[in-house]
Amino acid sequence: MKILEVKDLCKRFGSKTILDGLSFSVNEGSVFGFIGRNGAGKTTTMKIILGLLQADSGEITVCGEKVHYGSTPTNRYIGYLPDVPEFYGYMTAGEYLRLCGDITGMKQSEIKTRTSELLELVGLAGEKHRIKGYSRGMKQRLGIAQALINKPRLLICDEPTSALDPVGRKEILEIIRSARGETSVIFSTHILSDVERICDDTAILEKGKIALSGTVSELRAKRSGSDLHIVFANASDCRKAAALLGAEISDNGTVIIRNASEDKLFAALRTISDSKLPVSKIEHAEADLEQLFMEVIGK
Amino acid sequence: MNGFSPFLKKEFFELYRKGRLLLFGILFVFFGILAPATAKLTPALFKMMSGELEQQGIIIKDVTSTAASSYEQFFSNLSIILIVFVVVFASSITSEFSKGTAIPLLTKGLSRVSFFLSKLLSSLTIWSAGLWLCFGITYGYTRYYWNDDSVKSVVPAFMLWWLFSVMVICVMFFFASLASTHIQVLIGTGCVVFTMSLLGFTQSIKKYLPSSLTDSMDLCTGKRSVSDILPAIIIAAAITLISAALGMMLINKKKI
Repeated sequence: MKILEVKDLCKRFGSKTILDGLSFSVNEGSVFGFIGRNGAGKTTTMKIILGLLQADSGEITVCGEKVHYGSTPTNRYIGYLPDVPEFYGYMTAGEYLRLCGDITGMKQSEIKTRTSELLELVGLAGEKHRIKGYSRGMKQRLGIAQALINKPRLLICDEPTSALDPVGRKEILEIIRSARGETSVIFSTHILSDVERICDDTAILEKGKIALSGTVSELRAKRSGSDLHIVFANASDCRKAAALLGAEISDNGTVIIRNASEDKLFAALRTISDSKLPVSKIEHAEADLEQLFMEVIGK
Repeated sequence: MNGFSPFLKKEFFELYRKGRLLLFGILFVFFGILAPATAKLTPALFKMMSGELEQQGIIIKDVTSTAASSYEQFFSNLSIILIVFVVVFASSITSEFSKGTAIPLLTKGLSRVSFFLSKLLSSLTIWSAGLWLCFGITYGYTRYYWNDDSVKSVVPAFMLWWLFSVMVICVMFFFASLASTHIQVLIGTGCVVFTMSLLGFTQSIKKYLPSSLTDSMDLCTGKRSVSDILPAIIIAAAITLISAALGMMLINKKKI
């Protein structure tokens, strides 16, 4: 079943077109990586799904119900983690979660058990301080807890890891991974390693449309071939070798042969051996999402 | 009206935790005591200074104070408290959107109308309770010190001033529903009040202007009666209701 369906979504801000016929869907139980560079329209899309912004045209359904601009009833299925979540600094995490539970209309006993469960899950159980003293990572973790309070069927996370250090990122990804059993997740990001780590399905947003979509392995398979990275023992040989092999040189002096087939590899090894250029490392680089992303956005 | 009661509770909790209840509590009690105290001490002060003033050629004879002096002081102080209140509460809605604190709750099903009404109701409650407390203190002290008949209808005069203040707060919330910063809210509200005061110089339209509800001493001393400014009362009540209703409509259209 599709938990979220977006059809032909268009949105302009003044003369600038942000979304231009965007369509995609999220399967129930999956973690969906929504990839795009800064300003691509990821946050705009999420805000339209939440009824916070009005689309110029297009249709969105959440759990089969149509989303309306303003106070949309479909939000009862959704938990939302904004990119930079802000909470009432004068409350403690427990007080804030209770407020969220009350707003969603949960029973008091349910709020109590859910609050302690979630504080445990996000590692804020022993935290007695008020939110105003929290670090970014702690706020992000509280953000996930508040988003999950009413056991939503869809968790929307807007760049949850972008502003965090590696430890904070790892923690957030772990929490999202552990939440996937009870909810589907749509997760926008421009950090591709995060997508590779936890997402089932992905889509790349570019120029207001989905430029590429599929599972992570399908996307990888779409690349025609992988690259060959050669590091020469003498830095001075790089240019000569690159000219002989018809290859590129990266900033750190690695010679890169793009889309290297087996034949290309053997030919390259022959050329290197004939020219007697000492090599310190030859590596067959796996195609990663980053290269694919760069190709899609034309950089 | 989803989430109205928990959000209203949160508003009062916020007033308490941020110390605003205490701040306004102190302010209202202070101004409640200040008016009769000033009126009571004025003759004594003049007496103390009379020797000095006499040397400068100013002769002061028999300065007395009455209940009217106390209320005059009281009503002139009220505008100061209202200005402080508007400045503090102007950011109540705009800061929730600019900081983003409203977003998680709105996406949890809190309706925008509940959000707006909770804000409006909590601030009107603290304002009204405080103002009546302030009036009660002044009234009590004034009755205690001066049991004269220099003032008549002081309670109706105060109620009209309260109606004016409620109108100003509702106008402020109307601007808060469409503005993006609290400065815009302050400018909008200030312009409305300022325009009313300017128009007040034209005597012929004065009875239609809500600002004439604040000419409390005219009512207290019987110079003017409530029926004289009935049109202004109706217009003030209408502006109050229309501002609140428009605020509710506009907050629903607000881009977040």
